[in-house]
Amino acid sequence: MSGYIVTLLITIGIYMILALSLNIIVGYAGQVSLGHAAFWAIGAYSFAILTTKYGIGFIEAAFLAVLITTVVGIFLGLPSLRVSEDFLAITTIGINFIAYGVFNTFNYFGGAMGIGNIPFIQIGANPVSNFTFMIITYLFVVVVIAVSYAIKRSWCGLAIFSIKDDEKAASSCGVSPFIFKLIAFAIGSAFAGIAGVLYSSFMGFISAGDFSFAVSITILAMVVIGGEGTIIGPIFGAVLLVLLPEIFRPIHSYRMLLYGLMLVVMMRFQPKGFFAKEGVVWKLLRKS
Amino acid sequence: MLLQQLINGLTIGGVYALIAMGLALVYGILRIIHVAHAGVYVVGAYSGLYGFYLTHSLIVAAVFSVVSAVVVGVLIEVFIYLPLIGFSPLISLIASIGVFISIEEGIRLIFGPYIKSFPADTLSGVLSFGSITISKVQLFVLLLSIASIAVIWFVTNKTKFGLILKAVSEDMELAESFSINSKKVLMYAFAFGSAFAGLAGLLVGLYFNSVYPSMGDVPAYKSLAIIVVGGMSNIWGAFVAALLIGIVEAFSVGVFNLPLPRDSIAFIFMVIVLMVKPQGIMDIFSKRVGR
Repeated sequence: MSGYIVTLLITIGIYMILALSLNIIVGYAGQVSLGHAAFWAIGAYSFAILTTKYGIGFIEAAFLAVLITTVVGIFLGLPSLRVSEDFLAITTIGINFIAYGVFNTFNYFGGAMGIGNIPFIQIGANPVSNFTFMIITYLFVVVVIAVSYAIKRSWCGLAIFSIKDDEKAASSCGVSPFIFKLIAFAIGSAFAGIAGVLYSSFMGFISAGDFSFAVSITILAMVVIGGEGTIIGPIFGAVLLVLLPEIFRPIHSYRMLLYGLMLVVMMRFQPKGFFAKEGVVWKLLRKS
Repeated sequence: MLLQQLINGLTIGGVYALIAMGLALVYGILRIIHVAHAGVYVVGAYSGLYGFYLTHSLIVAAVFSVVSAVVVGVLIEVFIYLPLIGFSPLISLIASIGVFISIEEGIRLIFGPYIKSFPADTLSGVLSFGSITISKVQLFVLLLSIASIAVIWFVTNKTKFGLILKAVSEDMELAESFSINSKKVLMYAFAFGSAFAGLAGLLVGLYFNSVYPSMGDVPAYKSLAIIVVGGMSNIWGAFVAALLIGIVEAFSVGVFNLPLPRDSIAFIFMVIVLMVKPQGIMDIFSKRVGR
């Protein structure tokens, strides 16, 4: 495989993890989050700082980074218990902008210059090849898919879904919205932390610009276009939305325009997503 | 120094208010976070600029930006939002962001990515009152936003249309049962809100003497912070919040020299307000007055 294809596949894999992680917050628990890039950034930045500034080994740093992201995710999930749907959407936009501002301003986080020289995944003393990195990425994708599936099938997942459907009814049946919303936020941000570690290790250099609000929108669009709450949906969305800009590359000055129009058209004609029960894919499958 | 910053804050706050009040109006009726409102604002800025190029008259420029903003706003409402009523608000939100991206990119492709400026001779010069200096442009922007806000106040509080708007935003179905054509009202509401967004575009273009395709980015998200602080669908809450955020920004940059970038200040302010008053700042007033 050529280097370009491998890089593209790794990017797709990282976005798959991100889309699936947001899916747990948005699709499972029904909590609208528009700042998912902030969690991704926290994972990436904590890994970068732990390895470059403090010289901690790769695996320990990766674990710590995921842990930090989870804790911060729980902490940022707390406001979601105070505010309702649309307030939450805008609060999470705010979290994204604040995270961007902090990472872009303070020298501790590299400021506008970003952080470089982040170590690549190593086996023994040598960094692995890109191809091996791709396989490791997809191992994590498989883990995330498995966990998503397990949550969906477990009592915990049922409780989380019940909060999405009707919070009052769920709490009257003894399901605590407080705890299960936090669980969803914790799992979602842990996955985002994994994606952050993979991303910063693969790129070797990160700056605040990689985690802007536009990225959050892209991740959310992946979830919604595929069909929120399903597992195949976000995977499909990640593949589609990473590939589309690549396909549009020859006409690159029209790229963002086409991207915007695609978003509008998809929402307008497939508002539930391609893989939802009412979506076009299952309809076609049922017909045949 | 303080007074100077206060006036700077009020000027930019007044322009924010023009954008955010339309947004609060739309949210009050449709429960949609209308990000593309900032796209309407960019359209207003560009058509105002070209109106000015053609005629060198600020009045014609203002008419140009208002008319084109109204057209774009109503088109968005009819073709995107109306068919999506009844689905989750997330869907119209993403569609709205898609529209916003398309508008900005479309403008970039048509008019080029460069910063354009108004031919500077018309409103140059400064007036000084003691230690305070106000440029003529600033005065013009300040006066025009005060006038527009007076118009908004008059229409929403003193006319039958304002009453109908209130009825529809309280309960659309109930209003329909009183033989109010809610689709028509929606269209007028969008036209009304978009007109002021367009005007705001022209005013910001004049104030900073620059018009460029991505000028909508910052207002798009800042106006969201403003309506949250104001209490989402509360037009006057949005007004107060816009002035407050304008002043807070001017002070934190001009007086206290905060190291944080100017544009995240609105969001930090928003998070603080949410922690103290989750229903927005107007909650404070309504409790004192009501009980």
